[in-house]
Amino acid sequence: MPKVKINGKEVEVAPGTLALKACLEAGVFVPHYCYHPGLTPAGNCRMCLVKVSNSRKLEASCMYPCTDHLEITTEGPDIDKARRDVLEFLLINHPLDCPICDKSGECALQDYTYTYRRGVSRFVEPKNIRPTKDLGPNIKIWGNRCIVCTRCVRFCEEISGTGELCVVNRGDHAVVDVFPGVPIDNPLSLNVVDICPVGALIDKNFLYSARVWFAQETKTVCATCSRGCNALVTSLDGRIKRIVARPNAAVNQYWMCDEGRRNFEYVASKRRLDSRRGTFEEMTSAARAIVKRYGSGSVGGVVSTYQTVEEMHLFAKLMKALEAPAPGILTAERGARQVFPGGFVIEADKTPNRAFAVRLWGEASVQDGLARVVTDIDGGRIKGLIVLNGIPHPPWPQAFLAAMEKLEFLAVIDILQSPVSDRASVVLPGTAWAEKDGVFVNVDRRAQRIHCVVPPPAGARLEVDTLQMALVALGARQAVVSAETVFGECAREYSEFAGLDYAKLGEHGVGLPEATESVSAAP
Amino acid sequence: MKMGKFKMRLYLPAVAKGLWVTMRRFFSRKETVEYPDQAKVPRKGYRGEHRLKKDEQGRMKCVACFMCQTACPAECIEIVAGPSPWPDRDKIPVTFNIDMLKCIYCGMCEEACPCDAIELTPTYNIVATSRADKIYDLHKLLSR
Amino acid sequence: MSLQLTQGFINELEALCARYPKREAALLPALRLLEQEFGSVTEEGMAAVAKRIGVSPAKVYGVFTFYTHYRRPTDGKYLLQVCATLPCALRGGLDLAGHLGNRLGIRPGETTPDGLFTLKKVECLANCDKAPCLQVNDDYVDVVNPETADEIVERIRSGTWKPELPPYSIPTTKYEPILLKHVLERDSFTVDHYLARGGYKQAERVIRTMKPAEVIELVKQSGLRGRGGAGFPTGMKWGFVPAASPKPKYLICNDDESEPGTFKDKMLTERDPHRVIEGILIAAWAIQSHSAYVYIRGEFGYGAQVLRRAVDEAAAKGFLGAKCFGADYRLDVTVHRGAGAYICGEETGLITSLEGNRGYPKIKPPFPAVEGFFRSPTIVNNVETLACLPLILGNGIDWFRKFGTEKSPGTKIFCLCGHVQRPGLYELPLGLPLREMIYDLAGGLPEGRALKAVIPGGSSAAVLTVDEVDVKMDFDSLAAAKTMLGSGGVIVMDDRTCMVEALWNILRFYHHESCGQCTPCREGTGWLDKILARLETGRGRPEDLGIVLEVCDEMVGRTICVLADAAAMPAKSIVQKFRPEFEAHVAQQGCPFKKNGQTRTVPVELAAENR
Repeated sequence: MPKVKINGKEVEVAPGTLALKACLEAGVFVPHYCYHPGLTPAGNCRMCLVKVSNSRKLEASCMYPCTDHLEITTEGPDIDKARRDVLEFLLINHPLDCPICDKSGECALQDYTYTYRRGVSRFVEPKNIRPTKDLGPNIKIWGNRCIVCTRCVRFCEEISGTGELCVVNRGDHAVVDVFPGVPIDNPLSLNVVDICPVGALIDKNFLYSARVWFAQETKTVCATCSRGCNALVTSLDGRIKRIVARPNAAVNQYWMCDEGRRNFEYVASKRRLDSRRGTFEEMTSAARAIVKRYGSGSVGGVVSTYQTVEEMHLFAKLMKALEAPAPGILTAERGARQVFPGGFVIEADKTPNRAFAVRLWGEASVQDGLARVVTDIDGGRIKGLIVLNGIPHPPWPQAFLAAMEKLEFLAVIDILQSPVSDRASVVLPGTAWAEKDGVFVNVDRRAQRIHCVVPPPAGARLEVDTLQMALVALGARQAVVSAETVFGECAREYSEFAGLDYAKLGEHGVGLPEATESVSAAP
Repeated sequence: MKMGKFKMRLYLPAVAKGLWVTMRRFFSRKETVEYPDQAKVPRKGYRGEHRLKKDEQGRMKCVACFMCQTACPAECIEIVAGPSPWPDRDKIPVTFNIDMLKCIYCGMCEEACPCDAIELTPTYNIVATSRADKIYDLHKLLSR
Repeated sequence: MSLQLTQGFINELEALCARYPKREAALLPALRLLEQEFGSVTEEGMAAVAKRIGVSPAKVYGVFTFYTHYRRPTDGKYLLQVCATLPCALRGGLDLAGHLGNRLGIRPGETTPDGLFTLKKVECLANCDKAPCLQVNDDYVDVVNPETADEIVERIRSGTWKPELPPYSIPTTKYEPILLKHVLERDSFTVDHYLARGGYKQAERVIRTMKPAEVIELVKQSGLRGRGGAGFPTGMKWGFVPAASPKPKYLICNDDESEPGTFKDKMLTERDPHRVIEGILIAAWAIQSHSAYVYIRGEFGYGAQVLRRAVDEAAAKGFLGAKCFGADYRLDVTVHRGAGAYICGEETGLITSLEGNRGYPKIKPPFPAVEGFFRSPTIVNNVETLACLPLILGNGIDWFRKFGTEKSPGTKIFCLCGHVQRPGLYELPLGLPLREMIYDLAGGLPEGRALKAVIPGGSSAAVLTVDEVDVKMDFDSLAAAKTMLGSGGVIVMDDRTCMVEALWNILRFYHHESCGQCTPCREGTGWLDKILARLETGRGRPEDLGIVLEVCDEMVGRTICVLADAAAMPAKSIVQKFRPEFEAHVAQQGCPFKKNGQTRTVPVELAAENR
């Protein structure tokens, strides 16, 4: 393995590693625009120029391969001057748009200018004008701000494979554009807004909606499909403003799909259940009464695969305490699994935690459980039902909606109003994915943490609290504790979680080993 | 007893001196301004209530950059931005509220503004009959 | 709505795609096909071609908008392209453009309302000895003055204009031409004429009897240096090709002559194409290439025609194709027409363009000899360099080294243009003094004029003043004089030339031709153009000169290719050597030459510039 020296410090790197990558991995920051770790390097912005021992002139570190005994210097007066000069060039035609530009506060051009230059320009000529226009249904470009780094063009060629973007014209009139009549419209299109280093490409949904320095950024995981892309949610005053991707080599590389990015409007929807009908005590006493009257197995449950590990675990305990059979599992699948040329995947399973439901109740149960519950209700065996759902647009089968009329008692813990919640005698509003802490297990058996981003509606209560209080009322549990502590119980109960806790799951999750004891199904 | 202390203990000379000052003031120039019949003109640079300015075409100058909201030490400015209705401008404030009772009239907003859009006028009459009346919205600020 | 392509078109397109290792390399010629078939490159045409070739429409659009020589749907029937670059400007090219604009009632970039004429100011057409030069669609018209321009317009309007091939001429000197010996003879471009003078004998001998390594060694020892501009030893470049590599090797002939002041390759291509083809054969054999491409600039429509015919003739005689000269050696030569981009004369820019992309140069290393065309070993040689090969092989190293100097052996075709009495091609041994070239050979300056400045090697070279014209014209002497031999384009400027205006013209050229890939060149060339515009039109400030010099320093050595250096070198040299003139422009807030009505160039209107 070649050994290189970065600012005098020796580092071992994989053969062929580019100098910039070696520096960044060694913790030495080198400013750059056109380089992105998920794309092939272009070497055109010239911001990453460093001194290398093999060359007389400064070299672009993003294109320079490391060889044995190479010495890289990233600091020094001539390197500082090179950076200042590149910034001067970038700023001469760049419009003074900071007051009205959404990228302000998270803009690489602002940041490097602030670090390396004074804010004075000596350019007094008229600036070039490039058009501001829609590039697609989601994306608008402010052509004047584009620094032609071609990150977006390379993304469309290499990762989404759709090639809708190109650079048009030559010289300092060059700008990013689309073929007339062929807008940028692929499932991954908004990633180009993430990677644009300046405020040229803008998400039309996020346009003007928040200044990022007022907003909070919370690291969490997307819940739109079972991939569980790592996400960063921007929220302001308790409302989600946008979701962007967070890198995780094992899950989503650097990307996220557009559907996941858009999937937060329901959190603030007017249809959110925000006041309860009945209490958890009514739920437990009614359920217990039914069991007493009709015997074991007369109270059933339905749980969705949108629930967290802690919630599913507690629900299983609740079912056991109520002598219920295996619950019905509500899942949501749509379309086919999509694999993109760059390796990114969108799963067909549109719920985040099916893997753990399979773990708890078995694959057969996940596939047929709901149908079995419907049959049991129709057959009169199940008289009372407790539903725990988090899917924003739950695909309740018609048979279920018909069957639930036959129930003597229906309690629903859900987030949005639906025909099921309308029918229920006890409705306990729950929390959306962005309003609680918990753990999801993705399709590759990776356990990842979600974080609470915004507060839930006033009348809603965390599902883990509702379930624990119900268990306490049934005498099946001693105390109500936090989701984190519940996860600690999971870690003791399920072998694949052994030794894990929230801290160990960290920001990128942990891949789970296979479970050693047999899957627990039914009470 | 010494003479000085004796003189001090006599209260009448001190009273007489005080009365002399009072009488002098009786007949000299008054500082009083008979408000509201007479209006006091504040000095140049006095920081009174805000207004949002307009350009030559009568459009608000503000571009909703949020510099004033960021700079305000009292956090009394609330802005919501939106797209502008004019082809040569990108962004305007859809909401612009200043809570005049939280405001400390420091003028940081005027200093922070890159577009010369907000200014503190010499209006010092800040009376209202309810708290709600003292939250100035965009319409009120533009009309001043 | 999608365009229906005829079967004939599809067949032609497929045949085109088959000539390249990957289909997308056929993109630039495919757009030419669209031009021929439909009259211009339209959006529907681009979409259809994109689908056929298998690339995204956006890719085609990006390529189309990069190059300037494709016809657009908005272009008039007759595209009047007036060369506005320095050598033509020195002889009234900009006056001509202004005159035509007034005559037609339109500004450059616009089309007449009747759709008959579009006027365009274009960059160097490589016809500098016949300045001012005009190209009507694909046809060159030499030495156009306002009267002849009016005549052309009238003829076109009345439907009686027929494009005519302008006559060729070369000034005669005491130095006997070698490469240019036969170019004025009738039918010099036919294979029979070439065979009659011993043509293709050397290629046959090389292929039949010499090993590739021997050829490389011979050329190395001859000392032949690249004639395109860089002057790199040809044999050494060939030696960098990894002979053992299993990848296919490619030989590319660089016929993208675009350096202002250079017009030699045009003559060789149009009048002695077989000499070039024989050179290609020898070079291809040396690097064991079986696919050679001639990248000819888009404006040389006639040259491409001549070359294609010559390739067909050679193939018909069995000199090219599956078994060259009957030996077990295959060589296919494809003539690939560019589309108007100076940067495609840079070898990596050329390769990227040949691959069917925007002409973006690549970072070196890796060098093309190791990783070039579709990442295979590639050698790019200039037309003149290749044309030298049959002579070197035929007459031997000692003969070749008789001419020129120790380090710069052989003859070079110099292109004298600008303010000389006899502009034209001069094939001379390397190492002659510049003074001799200008005064003795080219007839000196016009009557009553004195020399003011000379650019010795195409506009990328630093300028020389009157005191510096005794320099010897070879690679090393000029390098020592802090300039370069480059392509050998000698641009002579007399004492009526405003150096500020001349520099503005040069910088405008580089601004127009910058590919826009990397920041310092893209922004720097634009900035310099704008500062010079202000200086020349009377809005200069004292600090501007310092800014120009600093901007030049900020560009040099920081970019992917050397176009930035090519802009900075003349800029720095002209500002430094003619500083008082610049200061006078600032002090007088205007051009002193213009104020006295003494200049031949006219300021360019920034607003109406076509891009």
